[in-house]
Amino acid sequence: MANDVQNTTKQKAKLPLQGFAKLIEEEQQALLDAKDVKKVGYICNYTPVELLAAAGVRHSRLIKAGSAKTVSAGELYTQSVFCDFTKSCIGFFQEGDPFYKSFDKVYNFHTCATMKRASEVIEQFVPTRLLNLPKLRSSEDARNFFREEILNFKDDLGELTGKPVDDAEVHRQITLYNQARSILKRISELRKRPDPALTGAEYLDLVRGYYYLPVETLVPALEQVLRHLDDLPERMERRLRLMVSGSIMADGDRRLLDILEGELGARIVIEDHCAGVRPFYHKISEVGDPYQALANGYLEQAPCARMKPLEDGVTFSGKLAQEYSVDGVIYVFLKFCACYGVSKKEFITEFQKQGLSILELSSDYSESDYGQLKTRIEAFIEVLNERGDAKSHEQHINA
Amino acid sequence: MSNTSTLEPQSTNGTARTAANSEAVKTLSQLQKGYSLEKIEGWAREGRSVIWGGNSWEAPLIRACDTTPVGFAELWKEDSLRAESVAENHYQIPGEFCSMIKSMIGRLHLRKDNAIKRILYFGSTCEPISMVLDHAKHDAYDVHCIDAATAFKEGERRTELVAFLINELQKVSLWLTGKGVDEDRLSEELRFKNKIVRKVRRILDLRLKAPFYLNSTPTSQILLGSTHYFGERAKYEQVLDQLIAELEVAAATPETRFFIPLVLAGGVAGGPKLLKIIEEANGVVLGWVIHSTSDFREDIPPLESVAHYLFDAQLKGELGEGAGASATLRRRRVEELVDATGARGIISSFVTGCPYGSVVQGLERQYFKKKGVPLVGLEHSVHAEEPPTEEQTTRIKAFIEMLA
Repeated sequence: MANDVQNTTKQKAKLPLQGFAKLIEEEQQALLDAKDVKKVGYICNYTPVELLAAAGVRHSRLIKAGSAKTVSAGELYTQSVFCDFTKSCIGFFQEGDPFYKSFDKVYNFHTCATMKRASEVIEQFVPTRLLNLPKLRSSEDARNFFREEILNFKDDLGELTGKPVDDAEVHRQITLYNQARSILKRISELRKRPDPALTGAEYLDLVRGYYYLPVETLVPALEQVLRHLDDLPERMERRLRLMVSGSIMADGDRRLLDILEGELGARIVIEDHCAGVRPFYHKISEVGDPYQALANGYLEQAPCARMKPLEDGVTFSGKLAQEYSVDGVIYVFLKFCACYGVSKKEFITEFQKQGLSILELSSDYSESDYGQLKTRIEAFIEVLNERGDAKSHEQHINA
Repeated sequence: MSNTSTLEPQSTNGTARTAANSEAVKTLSQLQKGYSLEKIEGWAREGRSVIWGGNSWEAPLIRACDTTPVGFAELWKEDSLRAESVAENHYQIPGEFCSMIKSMIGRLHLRKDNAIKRILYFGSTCEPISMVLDHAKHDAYDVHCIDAATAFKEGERRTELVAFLINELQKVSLWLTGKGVDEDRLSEELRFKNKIVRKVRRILDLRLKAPFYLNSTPTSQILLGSTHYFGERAKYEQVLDQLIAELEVAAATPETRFFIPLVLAGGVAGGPKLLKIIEEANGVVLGWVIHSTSDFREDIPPLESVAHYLFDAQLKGELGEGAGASATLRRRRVEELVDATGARGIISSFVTGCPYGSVVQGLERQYFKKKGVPLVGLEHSVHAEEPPTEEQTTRIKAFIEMLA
């Protein structure tokens, strides 16, 4: 056991994660310092980032959250009935956060109604453009309509920068972002190993790069991480494997992971939420009309629960649990998140069908329930470990 | 049930100052009582095409498809506490969500063996409604979604938006009838709706001069009826005609009694109890921001007219979250009504737990504070079975006292 810990520490020391985090930090500062370029924030993964890059704007997803103080700043507009992530998006603007204040424009493809309302509030601080996102992800009409909205987005970006977006550049960015998504998926897949080198928190730290770094910087940095991880000797001892599924786990919302991985030594091997691996399961066609390709690709991506039919999202989540051979699922929904709160029964039933143990948690960014959370998670892990011991004992007898 | 002869003017003698003896109000009350879930389900059992939903901006289209749309509001009129508990237990809907969505899905579950088995909803509605209806599929409901389409800002391109929505509306017709929209029928429905809405507007205008003649409960019934006509359109129209005649007489005498004119922004989903408290405190709701009283355009093809009606309503913040209305722009309508009615204050009301209502209220509170128009926020549940809370009563009374 002591050797295991030593080995893991050694392996981690080799991981170029610190360098990756530094890249992000530098880019955020560069965005703040930049004077001669338009800066754009976007809210949701259904925003085709390829167009932002092709338009030549510095861009970043508004994905920071996790502080109770920022939540309460957002509550000046929303009262308590919005999820804490939405309230944080508003809260950063209300607090005058320099990063958020630096944006010339915010774009939001209409995902959930709550985020739509938040965008209407954000408009008070910065010019904001809402765009339509159809719900019926497989409908051809929806895809054609979404293409039109993407063209509106493109024109709006052209107006913002004073320069029309070039089709050839869109094609180039599609290729680059396909590479980035593909590498992030491959890095995630290394977590299928019996004892993955990456923790769940470390994977989310890599995903941050997708939202903060220019793709030209992101791709080589990810390639380096991938090579590094790929070269690590595969350790065959199987650890308890957990999945997190549900609402967004924002950049800064690491409370659960700190308890799970930091304090209790558990390992998240896969997550199904929109700040994890989910947005990296699709590929945009690199041939033909780039706008139709974006419309098709983004609607085909592993869906948010907001999209219809809901079964697609539920099935995807179940498939991930199987692919990554998890022992248990922690289903976490942010309080007031309708997409994952109202539909939780559907997801939980799917995991139950697979015989998986599930811990359901309703979460927010307050700190008052820390002890209670820890006790529940601890008990869940204990039960899973006991089951695991019983199973291996059974396997031993059968052998 | 009254026959049409009872709708002859009864209290137009120039002295009537309230509608207490009005035959029109009695008939309205009968229409309202008769429009029950049991009766509507009876129509479905008799073989009429009836669906849940589709009773807002899209109602003329649904009627043109020989189908009766039934508003989701009928689901929480009765037995809503039990329904809410079914939603929390059976579907595990977390407690923090609003009583409206929980009552909806709970009641659909409780009435799953009834004859209305189709549900229509609009994709631009709030996520809680959209998500909760997914559960209904487990009870063998056929759920159809009109895909999300929203006009977010004035001046943005609308051509593609209209074309997309028209196509979605054609799909509704295919779902209901197996064929495309009968545009002549739809035009006729739009004309009728416009005729009704003109009459409703006239009643609301006359109430400005005769604020005590027709109190808030029948007024809210008239507004509600303008979407479903209580299933008896001719009789409903006669009631409106009768009330206009009575109000014209009442309005001829200047009102000298003391009252506080108010605008009510948002609904009172739990029934008339809150309206009664307002009246007991000498408040009179003269401006209503809940149901649209706008016209459908008759100068363009009917499907296009329905599409523009919806997008215009979204931009005016009309029709609420169910239609994907703007949170920031509703205040324009509220302000218009404050000016038109001489209201001294605004009661902004929403169902507890509704994110839309909460943000609209927050934005309007800020806006009207700057304008110097007092606004009080009011939260309520959809449960008609529950009496008003002490807090609701105190807030309303204190607000009106302050305005006096």
